[in-house]
Parts: sequence; structure tokens; C-alpha cells
Amino acid sequence: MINVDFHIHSMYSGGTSGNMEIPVIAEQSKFKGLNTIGSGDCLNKHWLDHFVSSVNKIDEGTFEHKSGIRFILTTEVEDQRRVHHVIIFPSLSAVEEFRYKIKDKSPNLDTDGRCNINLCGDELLDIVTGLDGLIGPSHAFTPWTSMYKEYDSLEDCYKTKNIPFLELGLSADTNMADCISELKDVTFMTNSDAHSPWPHRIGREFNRLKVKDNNYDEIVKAIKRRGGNEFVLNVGIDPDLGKYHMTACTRCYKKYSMEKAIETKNRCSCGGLIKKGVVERVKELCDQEVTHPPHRPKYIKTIPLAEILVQSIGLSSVNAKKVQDMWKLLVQSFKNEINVLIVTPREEIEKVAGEKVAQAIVDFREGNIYIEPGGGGMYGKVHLIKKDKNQSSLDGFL
Amino acid sequence: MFEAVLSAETWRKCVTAIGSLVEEVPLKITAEGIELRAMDPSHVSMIDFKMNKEVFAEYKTDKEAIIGIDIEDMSKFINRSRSDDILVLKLDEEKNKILMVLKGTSTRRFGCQLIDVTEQSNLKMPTLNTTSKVRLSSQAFREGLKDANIVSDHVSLRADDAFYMNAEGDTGDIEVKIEKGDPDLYEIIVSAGASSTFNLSYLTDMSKSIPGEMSIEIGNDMPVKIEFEIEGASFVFILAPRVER
Repeated sequence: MINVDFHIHSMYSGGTSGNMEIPVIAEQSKFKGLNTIGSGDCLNKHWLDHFVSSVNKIDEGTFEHKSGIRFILTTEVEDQRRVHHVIIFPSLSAVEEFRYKIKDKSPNLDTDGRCNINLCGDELLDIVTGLDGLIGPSHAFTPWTSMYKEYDSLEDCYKTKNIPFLELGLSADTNMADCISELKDVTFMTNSDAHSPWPHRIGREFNRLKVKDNNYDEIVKAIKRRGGNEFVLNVGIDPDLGKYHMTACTRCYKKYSMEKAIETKNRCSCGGLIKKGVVERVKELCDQEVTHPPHRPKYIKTIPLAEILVQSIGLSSVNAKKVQDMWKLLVQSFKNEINVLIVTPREEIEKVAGEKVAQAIVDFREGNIYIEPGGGGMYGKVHLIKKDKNQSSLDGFL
Repeated sequence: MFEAVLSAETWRKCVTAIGSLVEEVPLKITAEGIELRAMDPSHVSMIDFKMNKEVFAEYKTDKEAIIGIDIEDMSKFINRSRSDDILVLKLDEEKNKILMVLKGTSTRRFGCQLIDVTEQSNLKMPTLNTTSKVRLSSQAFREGLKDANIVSDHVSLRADDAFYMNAEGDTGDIEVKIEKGDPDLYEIIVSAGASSTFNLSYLTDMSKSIPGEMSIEIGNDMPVKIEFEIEGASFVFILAPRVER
């Protein structure tokens, strides 16, 4: 079994941390419990140079950092209809070939990590499959740059239903996506789309794969469900925490029902634009009761450990030094974040981190949390339910 | 450059009041004085604090800055002060610290490490449709909370012909009425009757540091707004209501 996060970005993508470098990514991935991670942004020559100089080649499509973390070649691109796609390449030569084929179609191939390509989904699919790579929609239901914001079906976008995978995105889960019958044969991915390497971002979503070896060929077999390889778990943050889960204003983040949004012509009382949430978009696309096909793995909802620590320690930010120090202490004591969140007994956590933190992790495991849903571009918020379930928050009055 | 001089006791009282709700805060330094606005991690309560430069014996700054303070750390330092100590606050940008120099029978210097609080630095004030305002003695309010705590962990604040504090639990119910003419009630303005229920532990923590007079604004199922002053520094506490679901 290996834990894989297929989709991250490098320091060359817009809005990313300057710390998105291979050594930091590898170290943080290890703490998180990942075995393999997508290189991200592999079409960008600056990033590719840094990547190649930071890892050892295991085979044509598999690379390893000295920490033991493995990488495969991945990128995200934006097509001419502002739809994002994740692409997985089998080799560096395939990356070079792809670059050559699209260089006249991309105005920012080497100036942005996630480049724009003036082609449609089906044209990208033709090129990628011609190079033995894989392509699928990124964060498929989000309101700005996803496939389903632009199209009503896979076939509309790619001119075929035979797409190997679809990334659910932070605001959706398997229960939501399995209301759409055309996705029954598609492998769902849960990836972080991380823009920074810190523990509440990288590996916040990942996939557990059953493979015979940790390499590109075996991973591709798992995506295609061949030779006994498969995805055995999708681990994702609770979709309520996703920043486009609910319909909300993109300026003040006030949440709206779809009826109210239509009534106000998608304009908030503050003047901002109301964006349709993933919940509403999935409702529109839904053509069946939730029906999980036999191959669909279990979806585990999780919350970044740092978010739980913020609540238990009583601080305001995941970046607070006390939160970071406690996170490091816990993951170093129990090897990785997954062990802390799901496996380690309460008594052992208490010995290391004290009663308050141990209780908060148990509260998370037992579902004693309240998530204030995200929307309009603001992430949802985690609240540990203490004594008073009727306590409201000030967010509804801001 | 930032340097300010004031009574250590005043600063200790202010830090204690802030620390009753929040542990990390963005402190904004401007030409007019210092201010901060922060919510507790559960987003149930908010504090808004302002200390104008006139409150300080000396106040100098050459630029606006927002610095992150760990209130718990700062409390430990300032709690070491004596009541007649003079406090000099200085920003050491190079070492990323705020220096607290206590001048009394000796001079003691504490360097308090600054923290990153960027996520809290642009908080808006909640929109409150309150319909009643009451000015009363903080002692009377604290006593009412203690009474309510006998039977419940929450209390309803109500303004009508008088100001009421009601609580109900398995063991009984309690009503505290403070009306016009009572020496503890200084003013009551009611444009429409209002009632909201609040968690007692938040109110108790908030009210501990309020000296003398305070004002309370309430609406129906609205957050409560509590205003008071500590030796020239102004405080606003806002607490979200309990709402039956």
C-alpha cells in the first residue's frame, strides 16, 4: 500500500509559497505519511531543472528524493475555456515532447507553473494519450476553473467518456460525485492541490493505492484498475471545509441559497459576486441516488491535524509557533500525521501532548466537531463541540 | 521605531482583560495610539481594544505597524511588575521582539517574542441590530452572573421596563431585575424589548476585568456588545448568542 498525492504546485505557480521546493516538499510529505507525490508543474523548465537536480531517477517515470519520498511527473494546465486538468506523464521525454507540441499554444509555458494552453479538453486528451500519459479534470466541480463549471458531461469536454480519473477537489466527496451516473467507471482522486508545503496543506487529501511496487507503472495500473492494482482509500478533508462548498459571495463570503442567489442575479448586498457552490452544482448534475460502483474505495473524511491543534490549544492560526511545535512533536513521536489522527491510542497521545490535545483528537475521531461550511473562496472552519451545541458563532454576523 | 511609556499597572489590567478572551492578537501601532481586534478560536467572541496616545505618558512612532503578540507570554512578564512601576514598551524590529522595560526600584527588561498573526489582521466588526442599551455597575452584572450560575451554564439578558438576567436549570430558576432608581442602574434605553441568551463562562471571563461602569447593548438573538474603559483605554467585547436549533 502506498499513499499518493498527485497534485501540488511549485514555487513557480501563482499564489504559492516560496518554500515549494523539492527538499521541503519531500520532508513535509514524509511527516504527513505520504510515500509518493506528484512533481507538480513539470512543464515549467525552471521547476523541471530544479526537480531533476533534486531527485534520483528510479525508472523512466519514477524518481526518488534522498528522504525516500518518490515522485512521478505531473502538472496541472488551464485550457482555452478556463478548465483545469491534471496530467500525468510517463517520462521526462514525454514531458519534453508535450512541451514541444504545445509551445506555440501557451503564452506562459515557462513563466507560470500552471500554464495556460489554448486548446480544448479533447485536443489536450489527444496529445496526452499519444504520449502514453493520463489526463483528467482537476477539482471537477468548483465554480471558477473546473470541467463541470463549463460543461455538463465528460463527453462535452473530452469528446469521450473514457477518462481514467477525476479529481474530486476539496469541496466534494465520493457521496456527492456518485450521484452522477457517467462517473461510475472513473477512478476518483483526492489530492491536496497544495500551494504551500506546511502540514495543513500538503497531503491534506491523498489516495491509498494497492500496488506491487512503488513506481509509475504500478501507479498507472492502480488508476486504471488493472492487474489487481487499485485505489483502496480516498482520504479527503471534510467537503464542508472546502472553500467552494456552499454558494456564497466572493467578497464578503455571505452564504446564499440558490433561490436567493438567482433572485438577486448573483449579486450580494455588499456588491460582490455570488458564486455557485459545489453542493449546488452537483445537485444540478445529479441523475441518480448515491450509487457506489463496486470498485469505489471508502472515502475517509479527515481534518488537518494542525486545525485540530488550533482549537485544542486555543490559538487562532495554524501558523502559530505553539501549533507548529506541537504538530512536529506529535508527528515525530508517532511517525506521521495519519497515525496521530487515526491510529495512535489516546493514552499514548496524552503522554506526549497532554490531556487537552488528546481529548481534541478523540473528539475529532468521534465526530464531536462542528464544521462551519466554506464558500465563495473562504475555507470552512473547524470548531470542537464543547458543552454547548446551541452556541452560535460571530461569523454569521460579520 | 515605536516607544511608549505608561503605568505598568494600567498595562497589566489591559493585558488581563484582553487575555480573558484571546491568546494571540495583532496589535496595530499607529500615530494615534495602539489598537487591536481579535476573535477567540471558536469565533464565539471578539475583542476590540483602543488606547489613544493621550493615555500614555510618552508616545513615539515613526510608522504604522501590526505586530503579533502572544498575550499569555506578555501576561507572564507584566504580572512581574509592581503597582508603582513605570513601563516602557519598545519595538525591536531587528530581533522581532517587543521589549518591556519596568522602571521602579530597579530596571528590569523583558523581551517578548513576536508571533505571526496575519490571518487575524483584517477582522470586520459584526453587524449588530441591537435595540436596547443599559449602563450599569460591573459589580452588579458580575453578581447577576454568579446568581445565574447556580442553576445553569447560560443566562438570558433581557431589556424591557428594566434590565433582567434570567437563568433556568433542572434545579430551579433565577431572575435578577435591575430597574430605574436602583443605584446600580445608570441608564436604560429601550427602543424595542430585546432578549438573547449567552454562555455564562464567556460572560464571566469577560466581566472579571471590568472596573466600575459598563454598557450592554442587546437585541433579539443578537450578539451582545459590552463596552467599558480601563484607565482611558476603551474596550468592546462582543459575544455570539446561544440559539435554539
